[in-house]
Amino acid sequence: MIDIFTKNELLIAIDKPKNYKSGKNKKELQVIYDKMLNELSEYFFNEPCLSRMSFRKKINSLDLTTNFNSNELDTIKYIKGMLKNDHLLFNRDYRDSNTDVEKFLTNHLQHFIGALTGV
Amino acid sequence: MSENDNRDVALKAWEIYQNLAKGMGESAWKIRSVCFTLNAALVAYSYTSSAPLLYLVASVLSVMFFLMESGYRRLQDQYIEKSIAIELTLNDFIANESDPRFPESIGTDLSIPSFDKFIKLFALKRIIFWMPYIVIFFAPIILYFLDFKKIDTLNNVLTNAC
Repeated sequence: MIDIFTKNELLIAIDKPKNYKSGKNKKELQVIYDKMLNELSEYFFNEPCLSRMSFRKKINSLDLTTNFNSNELDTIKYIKGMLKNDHLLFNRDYRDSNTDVEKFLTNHLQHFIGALTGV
Repeated sequence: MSENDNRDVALKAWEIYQNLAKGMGESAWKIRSVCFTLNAALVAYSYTSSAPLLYLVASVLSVMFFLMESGYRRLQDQYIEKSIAIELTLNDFIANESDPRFPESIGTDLSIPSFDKFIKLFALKRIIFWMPYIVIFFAPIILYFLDFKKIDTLNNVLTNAC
């Protein structure tokens, strides 16, 4: 579903989430995440990801009764959870959001990457 | 309630929170404007009247206005947080989520501003808020210790003598 390089970069981030809460690492993580969404969009819809919201709408509108095996259905469930909470990675306001990226990596992204091993 | 009704409620709540946050911001700005105007007037008067003690009055006033504005800023922050929580709900509706998130409750009640939140106002990313107050607090004190006052010219001395 996603490129091995993308997956490895995300696994590194999941392994050390505290390194990605701000600064250059956080920005690089955002880029890798957008790249991953692009790869997922190519996989499911044969088109690039124009925006996170449009991809999220398409994923939520998928007809899950046909065309997907049980592993893919599991993965789609985790993709939905990940997309629903990716605002934690892209927060830009001045509130204290130091733990947001860590929460996103260890709760949502980790579950999705874990589900990928079955696909 | 249908989903459309839920969406309308969320949208209305968001508008109310935005207006309240905007109102708090405007009040905070008015406090700041009065503080700076008063401070400048006191410094100018202190200089012209050669009464350096008024410099210290200007510094004390800047602390009082800072505390007032910080109260409004903390209330504003709470409305901004409520607004952001509702934005997640609205985004879930836009994204056709089968089970959109909702905040715990929708309401305009606020918690009492805490000391922790007060300390967080001094974060570096909020430098625009506290730096001007730092300047108008220390500048008059420096002027006081430098005994900065209008120097009487010879003409003034002669005029006063006559």
